[in-house]
Amino acid sequence: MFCACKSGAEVEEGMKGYFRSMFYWAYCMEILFFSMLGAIVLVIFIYIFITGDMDQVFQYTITYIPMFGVIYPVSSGMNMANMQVPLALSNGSTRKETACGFLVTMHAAMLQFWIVSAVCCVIIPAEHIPDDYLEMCGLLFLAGCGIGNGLGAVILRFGNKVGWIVYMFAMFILIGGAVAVSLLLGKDTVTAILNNSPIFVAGMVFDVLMSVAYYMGIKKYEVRI
Amino acid sequence: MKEERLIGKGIIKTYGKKNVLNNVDIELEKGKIYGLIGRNGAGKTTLLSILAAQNPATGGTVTCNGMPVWENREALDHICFSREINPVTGYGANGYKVKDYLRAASVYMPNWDKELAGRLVKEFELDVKKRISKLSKGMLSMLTIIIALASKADYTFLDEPVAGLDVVMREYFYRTLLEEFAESGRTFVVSTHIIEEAAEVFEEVIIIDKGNVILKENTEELLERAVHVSGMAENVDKVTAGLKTFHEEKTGRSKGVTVLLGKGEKIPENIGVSLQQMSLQQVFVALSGKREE
Repeated sequence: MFCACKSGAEVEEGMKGYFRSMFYWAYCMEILFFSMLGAIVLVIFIYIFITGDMDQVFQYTITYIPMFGVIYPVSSGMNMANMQVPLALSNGSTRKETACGFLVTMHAAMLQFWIVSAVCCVIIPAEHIPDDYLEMCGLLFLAGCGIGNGLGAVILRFGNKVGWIVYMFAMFILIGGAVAVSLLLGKDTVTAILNNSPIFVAGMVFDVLMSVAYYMGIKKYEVRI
Repeated sequence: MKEERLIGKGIIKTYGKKNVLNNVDIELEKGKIYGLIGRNGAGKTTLLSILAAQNPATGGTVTCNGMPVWENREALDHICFSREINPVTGYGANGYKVKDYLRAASVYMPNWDKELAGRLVKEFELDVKKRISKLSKGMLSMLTIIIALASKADYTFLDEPVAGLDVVMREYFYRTLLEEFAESGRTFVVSTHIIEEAAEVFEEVIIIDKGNVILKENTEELLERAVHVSGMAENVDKVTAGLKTFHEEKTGRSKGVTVLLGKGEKIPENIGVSLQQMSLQQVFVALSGKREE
């Protein structure tokens, strides 16, 4: 009976491109990740050296980690759409390989940030760690991932100018909305809402949808001079 | 046995209502150097990017050694399109360095020749730590040439590789291209506006005009059958009756036309007209130059 399945050699040949893509994207992402982490560690050490005030150090650390964990995917999503995606495609990477390479390594980097926040929970005295800190970090990282992928998709489809307009608009809505909601409902109510598992699921769905949008952006992208 | 060719059939590319490529058929054989020449906006880069599967065609197919190229890793491993590098990106100045581009190429191209890349970097005296945004036009061209030659891809496309290069470097490029061709037997497609210099390198020339491939022929054979006929208008008309003529120039009662002779066609001698062999550049201008209304 005739089998239309690919041979083992064909599958191996096809996978080579994915491995190459993943290797290169991981290389780019890890440079950025460790640069950011290095910057955080340096600032912390300088602060310790200058002030010796460990309480403040702990406070800054638990603030910076989630902050950078949001900045990283947002800037990666936009930066990679402008620079790395065209470079990968112009070097013969297929669209599937490019999308797979970027999305997998981007989420792996998010996991790394989450692991770093978990390590902080172990190292830093418990009295400095807010309740549900890990869950909050996870939610923030998911949101950052989703926003970064969404903005990257906009840039791939409509160009950098439109991407930056959407970025400014989104930041205005997010920050303004967050402040308004906090003022209206109070900090405790907001924290309780954010700690609800449906919000976490919503965050994951948002990230998945934006990842699909990013892939669609890459799929339709035209490499030009 | 797989046929070793890169074949494009019925390639159509439209951007909105604008037709950039109109039903282009093209066949690239293994082991040749092709010159792709055309005016600005003729569709050269678009054609190369579709053949290299970097951009999708609106219609038509492209196959490499019998395999479709679009999203096909096995086919794409045989193709390299080294396009013009932009010192400015959507994000502002291109902050990547030369070594970043070489590293990316070395990862993605399965047959990357690191030694050749290193040698060419030295020969071109390119500083690998320099940012792309700080490179001159000539240095950007050098980088695209290095990537193309070191890729060792069976089908290598270079888009205006000599733009910005001085005459010494252009000579070096042609020499290196021929050496690489002799050693590897790869297929090269070189698009250029500096036609005369490159004419000796091209085994076949492809002329593209307004999205159509108007000619694809062996360079030597083309130049043998391209003749410029000039003289008194009535004599020129008499001599060229029934022949394919292009690019008519009239000055008073004198006239000059370009003739592409078909098989077995000849222009009679001693009929009071002057016959001149044409250069590739002259043939190109005659076939796709600006026509007076």
